[in-house]
Amino acid sequence: MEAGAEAIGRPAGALTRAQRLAGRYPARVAIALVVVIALTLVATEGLHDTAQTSLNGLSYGAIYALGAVGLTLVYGILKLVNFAHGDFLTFGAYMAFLVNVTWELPFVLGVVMAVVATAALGLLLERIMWRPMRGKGAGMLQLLLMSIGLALVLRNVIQYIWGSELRQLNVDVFSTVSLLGLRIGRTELIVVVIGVVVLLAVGLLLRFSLLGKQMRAVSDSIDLAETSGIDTGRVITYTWLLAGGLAGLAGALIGAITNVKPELGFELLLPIFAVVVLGGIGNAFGALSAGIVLGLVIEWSTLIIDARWKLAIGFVVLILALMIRPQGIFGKARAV
Amino acid sequence: MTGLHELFTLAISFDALTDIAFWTSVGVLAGTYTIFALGLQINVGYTGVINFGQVGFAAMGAYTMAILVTEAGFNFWLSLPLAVLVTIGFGLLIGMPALRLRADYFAITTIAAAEAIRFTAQNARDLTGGNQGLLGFGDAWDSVSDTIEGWLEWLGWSNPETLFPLLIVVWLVALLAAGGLSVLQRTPWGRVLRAIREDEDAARALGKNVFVYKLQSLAIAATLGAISGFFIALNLNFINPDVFQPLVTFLGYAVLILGGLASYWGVAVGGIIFWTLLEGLRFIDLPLEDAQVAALRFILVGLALILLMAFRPQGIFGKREEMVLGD
Amino acid sequence: MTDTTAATMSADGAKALEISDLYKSFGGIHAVNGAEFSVREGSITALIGPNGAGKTTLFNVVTGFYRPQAGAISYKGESIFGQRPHTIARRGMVRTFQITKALAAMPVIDNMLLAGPRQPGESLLGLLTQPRGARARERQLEEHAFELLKTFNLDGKADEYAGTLSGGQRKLLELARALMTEPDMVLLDEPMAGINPTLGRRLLEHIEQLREERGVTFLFVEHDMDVVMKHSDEVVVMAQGAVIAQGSPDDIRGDQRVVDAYLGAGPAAEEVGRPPAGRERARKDAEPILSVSGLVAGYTREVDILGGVDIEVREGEIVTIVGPNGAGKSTLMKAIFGLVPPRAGTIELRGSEITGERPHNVTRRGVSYVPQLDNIFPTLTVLENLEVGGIAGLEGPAEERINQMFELFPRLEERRRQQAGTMSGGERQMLAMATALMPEPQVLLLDEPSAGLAPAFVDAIFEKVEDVNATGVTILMVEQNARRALAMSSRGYVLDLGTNRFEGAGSELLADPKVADLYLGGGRGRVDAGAQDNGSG
Repeated sequence: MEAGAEAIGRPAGALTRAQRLAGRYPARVAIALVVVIALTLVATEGLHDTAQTSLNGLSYGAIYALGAVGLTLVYGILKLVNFAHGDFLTFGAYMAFLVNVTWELPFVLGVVMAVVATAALGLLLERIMWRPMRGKGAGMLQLLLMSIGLALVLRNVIQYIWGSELRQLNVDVFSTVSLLGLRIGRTELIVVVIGVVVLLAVGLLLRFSLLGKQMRAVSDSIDLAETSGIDTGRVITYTWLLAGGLAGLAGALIGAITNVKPELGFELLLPIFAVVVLGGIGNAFGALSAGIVLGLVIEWSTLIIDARWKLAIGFVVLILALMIRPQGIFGKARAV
Repeated sequence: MTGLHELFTLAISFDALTDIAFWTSVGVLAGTYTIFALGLQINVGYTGVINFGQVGFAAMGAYTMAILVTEAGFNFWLSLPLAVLVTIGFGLLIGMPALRLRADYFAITTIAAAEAIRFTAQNARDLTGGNQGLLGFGDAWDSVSDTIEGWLEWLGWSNPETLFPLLIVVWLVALLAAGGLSVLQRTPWGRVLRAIREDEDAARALGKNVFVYKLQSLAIAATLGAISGFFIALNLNFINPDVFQPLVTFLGYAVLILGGLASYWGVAVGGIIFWTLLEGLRFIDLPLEDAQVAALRFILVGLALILLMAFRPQGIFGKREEMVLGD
Repeated sequence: MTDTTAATMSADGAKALEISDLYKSFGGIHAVNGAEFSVREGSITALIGPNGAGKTTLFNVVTGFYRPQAGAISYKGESIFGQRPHTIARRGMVRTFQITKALAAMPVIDNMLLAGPRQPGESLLGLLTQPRGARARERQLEEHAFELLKTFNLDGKADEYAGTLSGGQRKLLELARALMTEPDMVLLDEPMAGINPTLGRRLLEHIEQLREERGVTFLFVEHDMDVVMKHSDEVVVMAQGAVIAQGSPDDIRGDQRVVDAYLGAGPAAEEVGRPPAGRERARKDAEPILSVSGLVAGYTREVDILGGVDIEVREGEIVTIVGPNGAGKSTLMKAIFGLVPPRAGTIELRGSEITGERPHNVTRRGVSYVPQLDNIFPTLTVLENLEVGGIAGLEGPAEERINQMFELFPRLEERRRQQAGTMSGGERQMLAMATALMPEPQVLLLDEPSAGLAPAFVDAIFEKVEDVNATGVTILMVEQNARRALAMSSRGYVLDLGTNRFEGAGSELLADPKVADLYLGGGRGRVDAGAQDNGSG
């Protein structure tokens, strides 16, 4: 039943008018807000600091977006938010660690391993767990609790094998690069580049390839996809491969710029949830954009408030998004 | 994760000494989690409110109590009901806007709220002691504990190395709570909750103000959460943010599911079985390090959750017909 | 009207419910469009109208489940506009639901006790301050509950879980539960659907008794015209979101506007006299391209919606299936396409069986289906919908076929990059049709193509259907708008209660008065015919 409030007979207050405007052109409003904030920061904190934090914001934002795209695509299939998704990131990070540190191979190969292994994991779980449960007609609470159980298993298997100490990937943490007067770590730069390039590629895939369109169709309505003759089984397979692969990549990347630990994924899960909700659940393009936006906003916040509190921004955004506009900024064309 | 390990370390250090001490510890944990999970039961099992932030209530209760006692100089016994009230207030604050949301969105909101509390506890160092945490609130309890110890000595059951007094009090409270909730469930009020869980619109069409009932359910869960927070604090004799991780809520759910949704006494049994099994695994001699054993135990918890949900979602004591997990 | 009715209905015509200028829309769809009517206190009023007229939406608005955009609703003289469902229920207006909401995981008796009003034990405060009062009230409620259950033959099941009751029993439970609240006004959403005639009569008796003894007002949505004509005091007719007539059953039966609403507006003036395109093109071959015989199907175990249907479609024809609500028209479509498994009977395409084949196989064999609702992917663009939705079974490059579709549907070409979900209802319908045509089917199944569309679009859609048929596609469609559809069809079938009633050339059926009678009652209805039946169904 409807939850929306509609003002009838009362003159629309300023807030309601603002909400309606945001509702009609959400994406434009969001972009405008971001630009306005950016300009304000340039004015108050200076171009250099703003640019520096923007660069950080891009790298984190790309990582959030990579995690969120997979989660949001899978939502269309599972019809629920998968709590174990964070641990896919953790898994990816440790796979990179395995290749990069234990086997002493270049970081790039570590990334490849992370992507491939996590994609395979995603597909495996779909086959042995999610598909059978869908067949049984499992309800939302059942699936939620299963995803939590899965998260526990994944995280603790990792902890069992590798222990709980912080690990570092074998990447260059010292050399920096000068870019337009900004200093950025070489590794950070690589991460940003990989992240943004992959995001663009994913965006193109979803937008222009047949498979991408089919994924979006399945996300819209799996039943209609079925009756339209789309091989939904195949699409679901590829969706999980993509979701797993992107999550693994995100994990490897964040492992490169911070460290590798069993809680890695779970700590990112809330910002990733925030991105998914902000972008509109099930809306992959929304997740892409919202990820970058959130990454930027969180890093920019360090210019104003104490850096310790920057993660709180993630919570605040999540809670506000859920309260004010649960269908997200770039929400779907139909009602949630 | 240091706090969490502390939770188990206390028991481990006694392990070398006596079994009884160990199992008393397990009993305390079981009782604490029973109280904790009773809150989950009334939310999830009876009202259909998917509360994944219960540990936040525990944290709120424990920290409020500790802050009132150690920093504001309140009397311990007075701080308890005050802490409960603060926790209820927080629960209503989150609940009022959040209960409008769909079930899985509400779940995410509650996790976010709980993490927000933990995050605040970590960073508002002046108030909460940050990662160092708080201690020194347990003096009033210690004297009570000594008194009870005295009675036990008189009965010949005393064992100063154990937490007998705490065990007794925890379980007293747990059983009272379970009993109280059971009685409450059989009232017309409880009947409305069950109806809401199954079909909110049907309840509304019959004149029930669903929103208010959900808030009441949340308030009760907040109370039980806060109380379990007190016991966690008294057990460890100190608290820090690590003690109140989301893992605690998930373990609470494991207890809940084990005992069966929609059965209050089942929660108590679930609590005992769960912690007995989990801790009992220590005695199996495995050629593994402690950390690995710890991880293994949680792997088993996770597997248990998955398998239960897949094959027996109503738990041990739940009834299949009453299982309305399917949406 | 019975003799006592005049006495019990409010003499001065006091209104239990008054609705004026009510508007409720969802996105672009105006479900309730300026509805206005009143219900007299103590009356039994029926709310009728074709599918999609907005009856259930109106119920939801009146009982507070939907919030209207504008208008006035007053109950017992006071406005209830914008009030929440539980508040309205407490004021004495209670409702039942079309899809029953019997609380399956609770025992029957609990379902009943839940509904009992003024039970202090339902509030925490009440439990604390009035424990004895609560217990006493509980006993009273139990007594009352058993009385009611007995009336509906459910007292034996009091301790069973409501989930174990049959569909019909659940409907009765929901009614009994509603009556438990001691209401002043009861809104019933299709109370007769799915219950056998004997119980149905009992229900009606009980309703009439309640009306006489306590002056309870009843407003019910019903499709069984016999029930409506014989048991209601007043009839309100809705179509396209507005009330088009209100009066006594006799008035309504004779009202041309009502007949029009059910059968659809007549064919456009230019089309009268023009032979249906479909007939011209139909080949005289004996072998039908699609044939259905003895089809039996349903959604729930106990009820067969289709009780043995026979349909034949010859190549090149446009065949339309019409019939009153609940006839099973949509179910027939779904069964042919494989969305509902047939229980008996066969479906053949060019002589080879496709009975029970899964939908994507049926598409591959050459039959496409356009569902009535949810028939496009809202976040995909028009172009993407065509690419993705139509790709199955397509041989050859998609681009060419898409261009062909754009020729056929120029409006879609204009909007090729627009997100499908933002288009109007009519445009979406066209897109759904175009998508279904992508794999070059031989037969196209259309489920109520004009449903919910504004009149201007109805013309456009039917035009398109003819255009599509002109390209050689055989069309089998189900339509609410019986007249328009029959006017352009080679042949038609009239279904009622899951079986064939009439068939013939489109123009014959159009002129046949028996068809109109079927829609508006006059033929045998379920309930009153039940006196002779052995209570089956």
